[in-house]
Amino acid sequence: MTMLPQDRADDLIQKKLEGLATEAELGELELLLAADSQVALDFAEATRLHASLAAHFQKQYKIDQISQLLNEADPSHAATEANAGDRAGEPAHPAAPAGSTFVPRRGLAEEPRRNSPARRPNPLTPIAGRANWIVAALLVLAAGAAVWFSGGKGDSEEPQLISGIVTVSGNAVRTVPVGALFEVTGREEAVIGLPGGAHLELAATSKAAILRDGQKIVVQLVAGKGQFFAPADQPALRIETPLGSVSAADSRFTLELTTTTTQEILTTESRRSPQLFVTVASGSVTFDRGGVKLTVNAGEEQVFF
Amino acid sequence: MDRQEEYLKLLFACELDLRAFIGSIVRGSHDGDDLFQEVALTLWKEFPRYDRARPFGAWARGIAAMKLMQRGDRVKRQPALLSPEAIDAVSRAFDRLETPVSREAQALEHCLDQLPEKSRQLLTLRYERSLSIEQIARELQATLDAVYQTLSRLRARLQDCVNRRLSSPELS
Repeated sequence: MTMLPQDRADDLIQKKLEGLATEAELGELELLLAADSQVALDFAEATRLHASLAAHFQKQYKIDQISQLLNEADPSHAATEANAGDRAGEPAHPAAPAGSTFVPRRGLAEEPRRNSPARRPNPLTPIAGRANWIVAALLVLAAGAAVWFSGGKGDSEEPQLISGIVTVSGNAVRTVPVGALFEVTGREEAVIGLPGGAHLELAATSKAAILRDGQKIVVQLVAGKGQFFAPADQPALRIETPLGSVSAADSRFTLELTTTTTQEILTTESRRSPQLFVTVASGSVTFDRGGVKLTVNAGEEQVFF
Repeated sequence: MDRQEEYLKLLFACELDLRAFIGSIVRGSHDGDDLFQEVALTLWKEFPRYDRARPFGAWARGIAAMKLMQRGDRVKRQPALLSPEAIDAVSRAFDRLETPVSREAQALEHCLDQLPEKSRQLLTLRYERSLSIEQIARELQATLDAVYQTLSRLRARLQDCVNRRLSSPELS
């Protein structure tokens, strides 16, 4: 059956959103966008809705994650169960604070479920005794920034999985184990908080390990890409890669490990060579390979072979 | 209000549209946060030249398109973009989206609440767990086409609901 032109345009738009459009279909969509302002408007609306849905669901997920972590960090609230009488068929959540409308969804290892409209908390409702903290966290979320935990009394000395899905040997985990290789799965990055306030955002399919070097934490980037934030007033954050180590304090930077295939001139054989892209957004980082050091400053990008 | 505060207020007000625009003009998969960060840095550098008589969103999209096209010329690993004509058409279409993002977000929340549980679960798989259509099809033991069609219809239904809600006189 031949599609109507409007249906064809809608189909191309939906395929573009899902990354399913072929090059030919993208070419067809480009021509339609340039030629028909209504198609362009429909496309803009659809991409805005797509972005809004992602923002809505990611924000709710992060709210639940933070709430869970706050409940675990605050023993006086963690022991109290919420009144589950009005939640037909649902067992009470052990971490929900009494009288609180800010109820996280069920355990992280379970399939996340959306609360019903009657039970879904208003994220702007303050909770007695913790209003400022949660409002501040929600403001940070609204700004689209990653949330991290600064060092201090009572903070965890273990890496914290703040958002995203991480697997170890194919099994999803709730906490990032020290000394084990893990992989970021799904399409969203994984945000991991480190003791001392550093945090990293690893892109999907990235592989890394978090190791201890005495009292210090070292990140080993094995494959993929990550954004790193190293706070001020803390020992330098160190990331080990196959091409060398990167250390930084009071900086924000990106590391990307790729491989390129080069043709050997004499043998015509292909050789896969790793490359490390270091991009610094703020501060500066020091790349060290075998004692030879190079500083990369804010606004610069260096490639290492 | 100092310049940085002014810039951040303007940027956060149009952040969702700017992210949507950047995502829409890139042909394949990309790191949206990375590109947005680069664009945000460029906007800050160009902010002294921003004409406050002009809507910030439109100005930001123009700078974003230029930045991404220039980046493509320098860095080969940059994701490919739509044609300049298509980018221009999409940018003008975003200019025509009149509703503030905040109002649309409220309308979307209302419309999501009206959906049946199964539909919300599908959206959770797609947008919260960020699974691809293929991964969702495997998880639900459905065909790829069935998942794609269902998601497409869901989004169309949500868009209709949002538009109706925004044009409703008692809510405007």
